[in-house]
Amino acid sequence: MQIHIRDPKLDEPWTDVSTWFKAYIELGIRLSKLAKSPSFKVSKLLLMVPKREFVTAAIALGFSIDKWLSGEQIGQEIRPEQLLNTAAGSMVRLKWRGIVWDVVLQSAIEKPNKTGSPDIEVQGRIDGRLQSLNLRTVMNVYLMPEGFPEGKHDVLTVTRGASLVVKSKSADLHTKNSDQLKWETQASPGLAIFGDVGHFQDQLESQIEYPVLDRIFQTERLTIGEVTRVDYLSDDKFAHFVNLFEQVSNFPKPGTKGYQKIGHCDWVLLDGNNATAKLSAKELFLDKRVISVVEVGVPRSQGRALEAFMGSLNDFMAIDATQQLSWTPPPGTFIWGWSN
Amino acid sequence: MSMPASRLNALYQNAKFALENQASWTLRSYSSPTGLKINDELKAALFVEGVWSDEKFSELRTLLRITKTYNRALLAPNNGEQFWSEHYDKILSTLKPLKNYLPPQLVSSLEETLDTGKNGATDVTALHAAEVLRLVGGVEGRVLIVPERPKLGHLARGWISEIQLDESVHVLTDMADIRARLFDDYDLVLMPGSPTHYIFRPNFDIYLRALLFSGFARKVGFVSPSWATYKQDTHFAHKLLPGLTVSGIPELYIEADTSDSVDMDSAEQDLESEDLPNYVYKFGHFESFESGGDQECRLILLGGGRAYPVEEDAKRVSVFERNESTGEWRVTNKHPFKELEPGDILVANKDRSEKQANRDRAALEMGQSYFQFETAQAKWKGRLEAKLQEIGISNLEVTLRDAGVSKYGRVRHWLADEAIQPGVPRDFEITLRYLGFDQEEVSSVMALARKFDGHTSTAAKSASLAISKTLDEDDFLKLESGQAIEVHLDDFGDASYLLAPVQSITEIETLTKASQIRRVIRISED
Repeated sequence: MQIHIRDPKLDEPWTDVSTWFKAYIELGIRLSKLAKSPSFKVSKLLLMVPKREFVTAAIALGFSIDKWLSGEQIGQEIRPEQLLNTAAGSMVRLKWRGIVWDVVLQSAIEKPNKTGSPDIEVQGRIDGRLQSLNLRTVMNVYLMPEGFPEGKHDVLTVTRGASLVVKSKSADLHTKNSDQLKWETQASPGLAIFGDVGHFQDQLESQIEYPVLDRIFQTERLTIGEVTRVDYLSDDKFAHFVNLFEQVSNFPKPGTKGYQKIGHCDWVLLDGNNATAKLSAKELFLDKRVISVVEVGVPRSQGRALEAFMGSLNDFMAIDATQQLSWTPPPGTFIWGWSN
Repeated sequence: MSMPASRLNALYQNAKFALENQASWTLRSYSSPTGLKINDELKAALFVEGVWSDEKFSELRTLLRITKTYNRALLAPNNGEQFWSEHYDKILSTLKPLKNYLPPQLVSSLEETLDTGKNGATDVTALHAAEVLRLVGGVEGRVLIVPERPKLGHLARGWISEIQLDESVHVLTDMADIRARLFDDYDLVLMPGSPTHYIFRPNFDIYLRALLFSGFARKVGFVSPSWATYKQDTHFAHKLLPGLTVSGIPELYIEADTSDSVDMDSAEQDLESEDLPNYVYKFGHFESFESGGDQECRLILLGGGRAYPVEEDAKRVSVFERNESTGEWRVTNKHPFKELEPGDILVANKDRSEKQANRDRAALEMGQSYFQFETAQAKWKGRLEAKLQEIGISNLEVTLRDAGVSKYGRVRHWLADEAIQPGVPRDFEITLRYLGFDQEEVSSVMALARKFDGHTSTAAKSASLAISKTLDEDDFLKLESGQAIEVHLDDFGDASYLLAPVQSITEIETLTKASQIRRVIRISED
């Protein structure tokens, strides 16, 4: 099955990148699967690539695919009435068809109605603002872990590429099927990516043509952002919580919500030489699975990145990464692994 | 700016080709009897005990080491006739006043060696050139020659121009160009030296990794005389990543005239006898020999032994300052000698010149027209270098002066990598005509250079914005407390910037390359 990508800003034709792009998707799938395996000992990976373009995006797509196939959801589903006994300050996800609210619970009460069985009414905060919500028509309620991002999301609105189509009552408007709604609301944190924002945003806006995606989207052509389900750590926009991105200079401080979000992710990925050089020694990463993508085609920063990465491996033991992952890198790519 | 997918494909395909095809990486080891004689005699002289530690012999030692290196690696117009003639004259004039202080036997053997060299050096260079050309002729596409040292690169460029291969053979004179050149298509990366000599160069491993492991070209070729080819060359690639086991790389195929190869001990001796540290000698700072293009500069002292040289006629330097009303930090410009004050935070390129970093960015944005500009620039610089070798610097300056070039004294600077073109447009036009370009070519070359210049100005502004966005809270705290910090911008030509408070500005002028951070060893008031 072929994969084509295209950057509309460069006005280039669709380009078949199957040979190497697929290999990185496969790596992402393997990393996502193995993260939960108790026998998987790898905690640090160094991936040396010719150029970093689309490497992290492909790995993130691998995570996105694996999370979808596993159907995994963090958070515990509860009945609405259980909110009456849930502590204030708890993170709660409320799902209606096409609308998702992620709120910090303040209070929940029963409110009588004409039908006889009372409604549950919830007061919750999103980014400090108080909201009141009646849960009569709510479909699902979840108790989410601390640090889960807050937000209100309307996922019924159709999106095409990078632009947002405003919701309309027109009968011609396509609505999303249940698979798409699940895709866009899945909460199963995979990758926390740190890199350079301009560079990564370019890639998220690039288009991808991958036949396997039409099972969910009824189209083969989407943006990389849509298929990788990347959201910004410090500016959460989407209902899904699968892959996160933040720029290197905005690495969150300990104790902040951003810091907690990283803690939920299976892996941290340091995208590029700058991210690797600046962040390899972060204390948070001592007990975290980290993969560093070093691009060898940029000489000076490549040297700095390798030095910083190797310097962070004090008590780690080298292992055969290709064997542990059952993954063969494409020509021009090298991978090494360590366990603690 | 991201690399297009089609170019990414090419990198992976090149890597695949190299892995799957035998002899994609080769080392051509050829016989060179005259070269061997010169080499062995120089080595014997340089290892005479109890002599070379004396400071008064250091210039002579440096010149002999240069001879030994260039004996095996030089590519130059006219087989290096002009170069060798000037070089041996320099050695003889250096040796003359020292004869009474050196052991007589050493003087005698040196004079013999110098005689052999004067008579045979061009033959040695001609043989080396023929072997390199053989490898070049074996590929259809473009070739990138990567010399061991910048000066070797400038001379090689003159040679390429002389044999009219400018379109298909490029010479890498500034290693920082590698990143921009990844966007171009090369069939062969050619290194006129053995792998051991390249690995020995300080901090060169990063460039070797970039050239060999990034899919830069389908083939890699090393060319070296047999007496400078070593047993350890076979496994050189495994040494490029210390601490890591490297697998999945092509094997080095060796094509040798002789089965003899040099062992490890001799390799160490050879490397030691060619070590060329930064050294100031009476012909100028060694770097001026290496790369050409020193100018007279005043130094902006930055503390920590660092200085930023600025040309006397410079009009602006970049400073990082906080806007008092908005509280925002930004990069702006100040006149270095009229507005800049102690305490101002200077923004300076650390590893290379500011112009080079902006140049890379502009290269990425210009797309195909950048390669047209680069080919044109390589062509006129190659011809200028060939002229320099043919008639010497003094005659070249006089010729240009008589032709109407106003800044003829800067001609050596125009050959430097960071020089885009002569600063005065009329000077550029006259120089191009002098070098044999017709009117149409002159117009085309100048238009491309103007376009490139425009892009570098834009790049400079973009880099300034990027610097502000890259700093985190810790960085700002350090700056506010008067400390220096380093910023690295991958997307801006792999450039490193130093942001450091100005301590003072010297009045005295120093001969050095401008616009790049230097380490100050000593400032003389003489």
